[in-house]
Amino acid sequence: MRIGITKFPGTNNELDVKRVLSGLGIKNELIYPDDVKKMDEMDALILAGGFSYGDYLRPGIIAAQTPVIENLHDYSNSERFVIGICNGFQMLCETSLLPGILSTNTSTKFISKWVNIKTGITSSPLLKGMENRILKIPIAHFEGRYYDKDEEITKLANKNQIAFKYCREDGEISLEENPNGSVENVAGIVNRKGNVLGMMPHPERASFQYLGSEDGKIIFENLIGELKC
Amino acid sequence: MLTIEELGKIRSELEREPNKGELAVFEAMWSEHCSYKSSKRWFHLFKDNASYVELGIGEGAGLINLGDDLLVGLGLESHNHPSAISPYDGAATGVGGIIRDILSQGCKPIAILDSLRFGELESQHSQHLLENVVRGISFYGNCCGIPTVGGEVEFAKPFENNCLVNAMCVGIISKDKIVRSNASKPGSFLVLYGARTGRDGIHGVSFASKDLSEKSEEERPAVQIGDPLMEKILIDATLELVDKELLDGLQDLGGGGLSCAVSEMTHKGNTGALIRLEDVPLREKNMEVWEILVSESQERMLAVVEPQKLEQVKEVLSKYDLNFAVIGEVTDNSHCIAYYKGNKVIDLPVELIVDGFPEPERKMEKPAYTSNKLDIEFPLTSDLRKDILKLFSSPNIGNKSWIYQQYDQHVQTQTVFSAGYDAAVLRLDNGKYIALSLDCNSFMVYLDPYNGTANSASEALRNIISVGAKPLAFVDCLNFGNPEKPESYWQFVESVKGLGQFSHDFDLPIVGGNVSFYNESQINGKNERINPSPTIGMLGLIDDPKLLLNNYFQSQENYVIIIGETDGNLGGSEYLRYNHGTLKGTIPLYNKEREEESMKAIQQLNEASLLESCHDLSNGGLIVSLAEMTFERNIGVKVSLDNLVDTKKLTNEESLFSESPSRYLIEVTPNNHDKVTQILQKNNVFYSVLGKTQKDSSLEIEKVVSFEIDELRKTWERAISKKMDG
Repeated sequence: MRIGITKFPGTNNELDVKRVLSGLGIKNELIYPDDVKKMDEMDALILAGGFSYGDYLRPGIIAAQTPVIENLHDYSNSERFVIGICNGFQMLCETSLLPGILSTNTSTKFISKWVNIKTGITSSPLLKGMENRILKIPIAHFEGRYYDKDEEITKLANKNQIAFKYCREDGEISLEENPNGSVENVAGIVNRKGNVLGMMPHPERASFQYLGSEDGKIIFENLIGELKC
Repeated sequence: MLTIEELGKIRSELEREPNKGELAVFEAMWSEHCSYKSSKRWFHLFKDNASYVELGIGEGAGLINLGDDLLVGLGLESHNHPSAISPYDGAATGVGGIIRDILSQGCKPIAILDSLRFGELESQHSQHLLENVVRGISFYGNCCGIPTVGGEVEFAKPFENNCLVNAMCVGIISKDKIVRSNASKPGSFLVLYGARTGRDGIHGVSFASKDLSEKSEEERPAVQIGDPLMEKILIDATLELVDKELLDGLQDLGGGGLSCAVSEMTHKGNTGALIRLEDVPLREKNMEVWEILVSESQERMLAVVEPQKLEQVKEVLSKYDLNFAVIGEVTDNSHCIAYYKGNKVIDLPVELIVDGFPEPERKMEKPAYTSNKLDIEFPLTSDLRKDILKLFSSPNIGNKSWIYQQYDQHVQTQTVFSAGYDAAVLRLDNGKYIALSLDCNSFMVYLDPYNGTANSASEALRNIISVGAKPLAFVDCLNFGNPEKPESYWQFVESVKGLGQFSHDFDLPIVGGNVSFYNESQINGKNERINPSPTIGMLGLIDDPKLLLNNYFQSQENYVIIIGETDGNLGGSEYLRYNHGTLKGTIPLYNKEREEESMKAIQQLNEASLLESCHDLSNGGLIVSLAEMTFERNIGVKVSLDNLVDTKKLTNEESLFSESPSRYLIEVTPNNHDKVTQILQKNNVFYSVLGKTQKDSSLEIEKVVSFEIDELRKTWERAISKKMDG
């Protein structure tokens, strides 16, 4: 089993994801923007965060024009898992694999801090056993404000596609705990089939006890569990 | 600008008139910024070596061996003048510059800290500077994928027109991969890679080597523009070159640009260089020779490459799509020679460029203000409660999260303690932890540069101790006024003496740093000088994770003990300055023995696993440190001031607000109480059991004053954000 981690110029979380996967004993490879062939050999793909192409123009949009991301539709249609973290989530929205957009935080500032998110009830195997679970996890983004039209959000909710919402320590979804102005506190979503997950918080930064939380590791463990099935 | 004396020296050494290009080289290299001509003569006062120092002062990074040949690289530098004129770009490129400095030794950058100083936050100008400096650091550091994990900030009137932006970068490298910033082998190629060279940052070092004025705005072209994507790619490519051991020397292009990198590297290697300026990749057309030589365009590195490795170097750089050019060779004739389209345009002895400047005479005079007496009458306030709340609303005391939440603190997944703790703590891949702190108290240094500087360094030390680390080494950034003015130079020399004393007293080597003079301005005919600000960036090591110490109360019903005696002196305190507008008199004196006693006590108690938490006392004094310990978990505390000293009775103000050094607060379980006090008595360390933590979420000073924690926290939390966001 091998998992690919995308590395564009300006991506800077690829080694953090690698550290978690290697720690879990999983073979992994960095996938560069033109590595379509290698990408197709991977059993799953993680779009790591950072500032691909400097976030110039708009986060994720330049990466979305590269062979690897253009190939992502075919890749995910083959039922393989794709997880987009932070800048990776932005790419998934830019390439329309996930609905909605991620715009500038309401504070108009970069925000880096620990938050709590509550896991939704979805059919995604990536979130199996995590329903209603509260995760302590860091965020770090300038453009993380999830937005879509009201009816689209209703649709997402009805189809059980809302993966995570920002919440209080006790799980209460309150406006005060919304760090960036995301509609309905949305922090992450999945596609209808449940094999594509996009999230702004960084699970790889909450995967070791010494960092203050291991809550993020469950997502990687679920992924590995699914691949082993 | 070169002085008459300097021009004379150049002419007599060369025995001819220098040409325009050569003059530009001298102007850059003999500037205060590059030559250290007013400061270098005092560096012998510093302790600069230790068994674990692999590389000391003199190159981009000081290198410290953590024990198993994993080295930590440290660098600290100012970017003050550019940030005062163009805060966003000035701060961003300041971060970029220090990253490349430590990259020059092959280090992988793993953390940034920054030390910022602005005018009072009520001023719109200061708000504008803070907003944009922080945005600049955030934009650049975040994009490069390096966490900003700590630092400090101060607000005071003397920084209104001369803000200070000091950036520290920390990196790691294994011993066998170190790269040096020298060109030692004639015949090697000089490869310039990274961004193209443009006209930005021309005369940057000269601009940094004079006072600011109303006209400084016109020097905006001297400010460099940063491109963090380019920097990130440059980092990735450089680390691959280092890992494959393809480099024989490396230096970034910073102040003084190409002329500085070529001359310094050949000087260190006892060689010379021949370069062809038409081969330098340019961003703009029709650049003149002198512009190419001294441009400070960012994101450029100069590598020394042995001929047999050139092809491999080209391969790596091409893979990253980076611009590069072989611009010349290392020679053995100890001259820097440059050709432009076949014409020889520069021919200068390396020694003359780097070390040939005539040392200028500098005079010292003790400023009159240092003799002003502090005359205060107690009580200073009729409403202590209100006075305390006011202190907590000072931006120097209040919560700094408005700033540090804009920095990515967690990328690279090594951050154990981030900003907000006494020191930042990172876990390295070898399982060891390092602690980092960056400190200065400019008010203390202003009143008494010698003691104030030693106290500032002691504060950095206490911060390292408070997280359970053992201090190893430090770097400094010495920010001062105009060295040509005797009072300003006196401040500098006294400060350096204090720092030197501290380094010897605690056996802590200084492994790098930078001097920034001319932080003065003439605005509307009025001279303004900064408070002298020697910032100190310290590295500590935690061998065993068990020693890691928290800085806030862990549980109820534990004893709270103060280590170190409170001398009651309010001189230089934030309380007198912020609440009562008074900054004069003597300050609490630096006392090596007391500082060491307290330090050793904490270390011994921690090694015996007797501490639940620990926090140092600094700005704001006892009341602030106590409150800070309650905030995180909302654990209350009830204390008495009766036994703070055993000699004399202090007023409440003296007890609560004095910033005397050598003090820590510790939290101890009832079970460990006796063991702790026995150890303290045995070691003859002054301590006082102040009281206990409690369930009730309040902070009570018996018979004096009492607060709900929430009330203090809210004031403290909004000290900066209220002024910035309304």
